[in-house]
Amino acid sequence: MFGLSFLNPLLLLGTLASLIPLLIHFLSKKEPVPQVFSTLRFLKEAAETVQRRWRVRNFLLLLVRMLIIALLAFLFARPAITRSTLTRVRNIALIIDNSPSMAFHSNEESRFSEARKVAVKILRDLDESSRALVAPLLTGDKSSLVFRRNSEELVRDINDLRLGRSAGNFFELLSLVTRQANQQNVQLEKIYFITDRQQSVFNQVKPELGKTTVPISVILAGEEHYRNAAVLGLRSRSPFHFEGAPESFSLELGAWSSDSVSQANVLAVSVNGEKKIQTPISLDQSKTTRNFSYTFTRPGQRLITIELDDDGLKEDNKFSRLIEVSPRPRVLLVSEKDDLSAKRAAFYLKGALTTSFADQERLVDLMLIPPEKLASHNLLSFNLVIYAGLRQLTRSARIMLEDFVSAGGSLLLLPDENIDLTIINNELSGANRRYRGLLPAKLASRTKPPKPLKLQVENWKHPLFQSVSEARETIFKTASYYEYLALGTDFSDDVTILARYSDQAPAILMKKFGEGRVVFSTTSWGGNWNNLVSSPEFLPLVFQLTYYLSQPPLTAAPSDEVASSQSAIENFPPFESDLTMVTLKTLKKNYPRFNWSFGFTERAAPRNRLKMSRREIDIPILVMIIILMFTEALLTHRVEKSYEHKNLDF
Amino acid sequence: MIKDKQFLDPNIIVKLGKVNLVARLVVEGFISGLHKSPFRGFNVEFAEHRQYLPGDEIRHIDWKVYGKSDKYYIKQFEEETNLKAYIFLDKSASMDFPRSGDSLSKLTYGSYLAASLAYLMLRQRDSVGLVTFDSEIKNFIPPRSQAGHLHQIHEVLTDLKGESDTDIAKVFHQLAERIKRRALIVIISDLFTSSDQAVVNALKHLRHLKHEIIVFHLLSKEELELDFKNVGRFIDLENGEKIVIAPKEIRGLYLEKIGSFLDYFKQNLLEANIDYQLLNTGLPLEYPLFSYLSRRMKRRK
Repeated sequence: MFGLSFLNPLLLLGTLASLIPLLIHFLSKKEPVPQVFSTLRFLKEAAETVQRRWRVRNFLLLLVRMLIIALLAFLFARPAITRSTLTRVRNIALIIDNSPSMAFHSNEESRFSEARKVAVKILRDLDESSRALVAPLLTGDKSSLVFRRNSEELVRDINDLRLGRSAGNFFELLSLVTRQANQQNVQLEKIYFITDRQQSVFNQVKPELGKTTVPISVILAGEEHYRNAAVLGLRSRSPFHFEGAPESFSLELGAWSSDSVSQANVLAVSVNGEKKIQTPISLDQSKTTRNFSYTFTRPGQRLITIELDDDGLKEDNKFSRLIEVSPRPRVLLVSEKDDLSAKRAAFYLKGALTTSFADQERLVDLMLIPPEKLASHNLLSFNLVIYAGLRQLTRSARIMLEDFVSAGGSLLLLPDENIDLTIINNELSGANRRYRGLLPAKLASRTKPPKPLKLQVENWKHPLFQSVSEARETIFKTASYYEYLALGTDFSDDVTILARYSDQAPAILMKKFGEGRVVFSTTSWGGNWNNLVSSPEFLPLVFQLTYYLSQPPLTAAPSDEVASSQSAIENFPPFESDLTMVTLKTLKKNYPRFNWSFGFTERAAPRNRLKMSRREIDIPILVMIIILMFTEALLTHRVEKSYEHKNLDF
Repeated sequence: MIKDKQFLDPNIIVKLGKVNLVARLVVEGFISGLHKSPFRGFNVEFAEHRQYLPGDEIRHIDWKVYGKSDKYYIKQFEEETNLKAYIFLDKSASMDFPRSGDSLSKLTYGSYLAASLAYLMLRQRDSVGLVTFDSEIKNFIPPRSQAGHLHQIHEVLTDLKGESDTDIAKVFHQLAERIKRRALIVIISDLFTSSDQAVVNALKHLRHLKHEIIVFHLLSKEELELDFKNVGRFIDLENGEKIVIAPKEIRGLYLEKIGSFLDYFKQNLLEANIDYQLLNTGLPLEYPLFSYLSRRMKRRK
C-alpha cells in the first residue's frame, strides 16, 4: 500500500501562492488602447498567423511559473511516499505507578483507577501469543515479576493492584524489568510507564535510561501543568493568593497534589531571605490556609519569597516578589515665631501631624522653622511645605517657594489673620509679573459674612476626598467659618476649587504650578476666623491634605510599591509568564527517549500495528523544480528574443 | 547657409506650418547647399564651343575666341527647358497618419514635398502641375511656368485633408488618358491600396505613354517599425475596421510583410524603368529633392 504523507502538511497551503502569477496576469491586463493606424492590411495578416502561437506560448509560461511555485510549497511541506507494513509488537512490560499521589482525583475516578484501565486496554489490544509483565512501582515481592502469556490472569493482576505508601524508584524497577526479560529470554519490545510523575523524576533517571534500548512509552496522568508550580495548586488552575500588609499575611492554597509521597511537604515564607514561617503541610490537605504576621516599619526593599514543595524546597517551586516600602513623607512647617495667630496654626498642625495612634507609626517626618530660616534648608528634600500664617513674604522666600513647587513639590498656604493683602498680592498673585503667581487668584478683601458658614466639598470623587467620601453626610459639617478672604474672579484654567463655603465663595483651592501643586485656604487656621482647629473635622482634613499633597502629583504609585503603614496586596506566583509550562512538546524535546502522552489517552495498541515506512521525495521534486525553472528561463528567453526584430533596412 | 539648411529637417518644418513659406525656405536652403555639388550648372546659361562647320549660322560664331585663337568656334547654347512636370499627391485617409506626436503626418510631409518640388521646378522655369487624388481625382492643376502659378498650387496644398479610401490604379489610368504630352510625373503616395499589382500596372501604363515617373513611396516611422509598446485596439483610418493586437508579438511578422510589400514595388518599378524612392517621413526633405534633381539631370542628357 503506497500513499503520500507530509511532514508539514500545513505548508501545503502555500500551493495557493501558485495563483499569484495568474493574479498578476489578470491584474496587469489592461483595456486595449485605441490606436488609429493607416492600414490594417499587414497587421491583420501578421496577427492571423502569429497571435495563436503567442497565446499558446504565454499560456505555457504561465503554467510553468504556477507549477514552480506549487512545487516549492509542496517541497516545503516535506512530502514522502509511505508504505505500510504489518509489524507485530508482542512482548511488553507495564509499570504502573501505585504511589499515594495516584489516589488524587480531579474527577470521579482517581488517577490510579484510570491507570489500571489504560493498562487493561493495552493488554486487551495485544494478541494472545504476546507476553507481558505487570509491575507496580512499589513492588514488595520482586520474584513475582515474570513475563506471562497474555490472558485474563494478567488483567486480574492489574485489577488487584493497590496503592502503596512510599515514593518508589522507577529506575530500579526499570533495571529489574530489563534484567527479568533477559533472564526469562524474552525479547522485550516496549515498556509502558503509567504515572502522574512530573519532569523532575525523569531528570534523575535520565542518564541511566541510555542503558536500555527498549522503547519506553510514558503515559502521564493529568494535563499540561506549570513545572515550577507543581504543588502550588496551579496544576488544577485554582487561585493562590498572598495578600495583606503590614499586620497580617494570609495565605490560601488551592487544590493540589504532590508528585510523589515524601514527608517533606513544606510551606515557607521568607522576607529578605529570612524565613518568617516554615511549616509542614500534610498530603491529604488539598486546601489549606496559613496566617502569619509581619510589619513593615522601615522604608526600603522587601523580598518576599514563598516556597512550597514536597522535595526539600527546591528552586523550581519558589516564587519571589520585591516590594518597595517607601519612607514617610517629609513635611516642612513654616511659621512666624512672633505672630500669635500663626503660632496657633502651627501648634495645631504640629499636634495633628505628629500624633501617633495606637500601634501605628507616625504619619510624617515633620520639621518646624521660621520663614527666615527657609534659605538654610534644601526644600527639595521635603515632599510638602506648609506655610502656616502667611502675613507677608520676602522676595527671596517667594522665589525659593516657586522653585520648590515648580520642581514638583507641594505647598499648603494658610493665610494669617493679619495678612498684608498688598504685599501678598504683589508677591504671590502674579498680578504685576510676567509669570503666574503661586496664588490661584488675587486676594480681594477680608469678608465677614452676616452668619457663620459651613464647608461644602465641591467634588467628593477628587483624590483628596475620595477616602472620606463615605462619611460625606457628617464630615466637614461641624466647623463654623466667621471670616475669610474674598478672591478676585480671574482664575486660570489650572485652578481647581476643592471646597466652598455655604455662600459659594471658594474655601480651599488648588493650583498647578510647574510640576507641583499649591493648595490655598482662604481662611486662617489660627482660631479666630473659624473654630476649625477645635472641631472634629480638623484631623481628617489635615491628614487628607497631607497624605494627598505628599504623594507624587500625577499618577498613583506603582503597584509593587507600598508606603509604610499602607497595606500591600500581592499575588504569588505573580504572572503566568513567570512560570514554565510543561507541554508534550517540551517533554518530547527534553526527553526524546520517551514516547510521551498525556491524560491516559494512550491507545498504543501494539497488536499487529501498521508500520509505516517513509521515503522522502525531496530530491525528485527539487530536480523537477530545477527542470521547470530551466524551462521557464528558456521560454522567457525565447519570448524576449522574439520581441527583438531588426528594423527594416531602407 | 546653416540657417537655411535647417528647414530641410521635418522636425523644424512641423513648426512652420505654412506651405509656401516652408517650400521657399526648404528650396532656398537646399540650393544654397548645392554649390559644391556635382549638379553645378544645371541652369540655362550652360554652353559649349565647337569648331565652325560650313552651314552653321554665322551669328553663332564666338568672335572673342576668334580674336584670341584666330579660329572659328560656334558658341552652342543649351536648349531652353520646356519640361512639363506633374506632381500626383495621394490625399487618402491613410496618408493622414501619424496623427499624434510631433512628427509630421505623411500628408503634411507630402504637401511640403510637393510645394518644395513645385517651387524648385518653377525656379528652373519648368512648368509644373498638381494632381491630388484619393479614390478619384480631386484637384487637377495643369502645368504652367509662371511664377504666379505657385500660389494656386499652394492654395490647394494648404486646404488638403486626408479622407476617403484609395484607388490609385483607377486614378492613374484616368490620368494616363488625360495627360497627352510627355511629362515628368512625380508621385507622392503611401501606395496603400487593395491591389499592388493594379498599381504597378497603372504605373506601367503611364510609363508606356513615355512619361518619366518618380515614385516617392511615403511611409511613417510607425508604419516601418511598429514600435508600439502596449496592446492596442488598432483602427483602420480608411475603412474604420478594428482589431486588437499586441504589437510586440506580431512585430516580427509585420516587418516581414511590410518588407515584402516594399520589395514588390521596388523590384517591379525598377523593371518598368520607373524611379522608386522609399521615403520615411522622418527624413529631411533634401533626400527627395536630390532624387528629383538626379532624375532631371538624366532626362537632360
